[in-house]
Amino acid sequence: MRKFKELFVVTVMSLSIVGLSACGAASESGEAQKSEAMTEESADTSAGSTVEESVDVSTETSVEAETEGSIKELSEGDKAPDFTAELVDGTEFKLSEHENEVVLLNFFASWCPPCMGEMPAFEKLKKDNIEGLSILCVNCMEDKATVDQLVKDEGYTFPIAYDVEGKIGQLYPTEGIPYTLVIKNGVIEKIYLGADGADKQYAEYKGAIDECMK
Amino acid sequence: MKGKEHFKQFSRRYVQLMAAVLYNCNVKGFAEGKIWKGNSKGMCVPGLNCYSCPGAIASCPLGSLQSALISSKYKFPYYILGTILLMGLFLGRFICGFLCPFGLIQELLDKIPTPKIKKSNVTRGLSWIKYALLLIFAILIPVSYSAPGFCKYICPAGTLEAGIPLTIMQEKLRPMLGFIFSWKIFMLVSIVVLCIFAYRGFCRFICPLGAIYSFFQPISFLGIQVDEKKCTHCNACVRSCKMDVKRVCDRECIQCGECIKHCPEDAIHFGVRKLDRKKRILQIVVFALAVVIIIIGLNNNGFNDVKNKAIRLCYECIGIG
Repeated sequence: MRKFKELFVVTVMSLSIVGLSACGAASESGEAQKSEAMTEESADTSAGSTVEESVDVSTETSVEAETEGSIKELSEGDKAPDFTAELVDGTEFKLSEHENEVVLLNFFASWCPPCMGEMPAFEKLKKDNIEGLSILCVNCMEDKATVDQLVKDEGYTFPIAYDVEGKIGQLYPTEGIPYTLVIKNGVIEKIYLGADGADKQYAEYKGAIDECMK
Repeated sequence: MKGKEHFKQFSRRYVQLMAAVLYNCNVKGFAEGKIWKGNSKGMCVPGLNCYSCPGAIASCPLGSLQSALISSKYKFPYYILGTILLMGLFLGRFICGFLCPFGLIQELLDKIPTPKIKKSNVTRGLSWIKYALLLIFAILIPVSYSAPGFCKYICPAGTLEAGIPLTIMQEKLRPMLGFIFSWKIFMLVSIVVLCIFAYRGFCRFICPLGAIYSFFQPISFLGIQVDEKKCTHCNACVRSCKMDVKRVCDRECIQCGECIKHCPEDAIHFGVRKLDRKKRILQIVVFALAVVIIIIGLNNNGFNDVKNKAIRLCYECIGIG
């Protein structure tokens, strides 16, 4: 009997907590964690204004995306949203300037092992020197210094773009990376989620590009 | 009065449950099969709770540590190390006993009435495995092979909380499932079986996060403490304990408070611990160190680094890609 009672109380409590938390997603920051609260406080008082600013910006954007649900993931056949990216080599890349080409657009980060695993595929495609193909790998919100160091260490020669504030990433929302799109004449032809090593990805991308070039 | 006693008896279960629900209160995520992308993902919860879980509103300290170590050649992971240091210093393995959702799951699995493996010198010996796993899978593999070793090859919480629900909800993830996912399912099943036959088997033998927190046991602010004046060294506390402890509040103690009930002399208490001078100084040093490296980490964009990793699905962690 007591077991049932316990079970009943536990169920009621969990339901009420779920209900409460669903009402105010804001309650999440009110978690009773002393240590976390302390880190937060120290952040507010001592961290430089740049950190706070960047935090604020990302709050707004992510909350917007979350609540409105207006940013839907792209699918094959959609028009590729235009953007201008700042490249590691100092130049700019504007998608609409490559409207008559095939663009291989990839999103990656240095901490993402599958992303790093497929990078040689892009290097190889760059070396293939295919006419009418542009490659662009967009980094996901890492510091410029990190991206620069990465490019230096690995010796990549294909175009890599910074996206420190995630503005490009926001136009191409995805649950996870690596995320690669093949764009032909401004329309998304193919979307790849995840990666399975450089050799396999090279074959996949090459196949898709050849298909587009036909 | 009856209610009060009931609460006293089961208060730990309530705290565990509340922690589990709070960590995973993004109900919408469960409904849609999508992960939370809010700012709170820049913070870590104390317990083991996969940040690729659709409900998770904050990061897993162990997962964040591994992904931070992967990029440690570009950036030293100050922020996450400081957070772990601070949480360990304040709570020690109290976190394991009260604030870990996977601990709760293990305790519920233990309720299944089967013959249980009794603690012995063998299980005490096995408890060293988690330190080896911490070193190899959570530190060396991320640093030298750029893979979140523990998440990728072992973590049952990731498979249970993220891998399985996400692949059920999102059709497009299914073609990516491969050998690693099968391996992770095998690990999950083995660990569940282990936990049915051995109380908190994952926690005692495998969990690297518990191993990290165990280093803080001697100096944590809060904890179980024995009143030496009252203690008669009858050893009832250690005998009644289901963990592999040799004395109260050693590295294996999860501060669950079971021994308080069994002490005939009423000599065991939970609260702010009274420590000798040497340990006090150590406490202050660790605290100062933690605060300093958290501040360095925050200035170094550490908060956003943790968040940016946690708002994207870690395909490897859930065993795909």
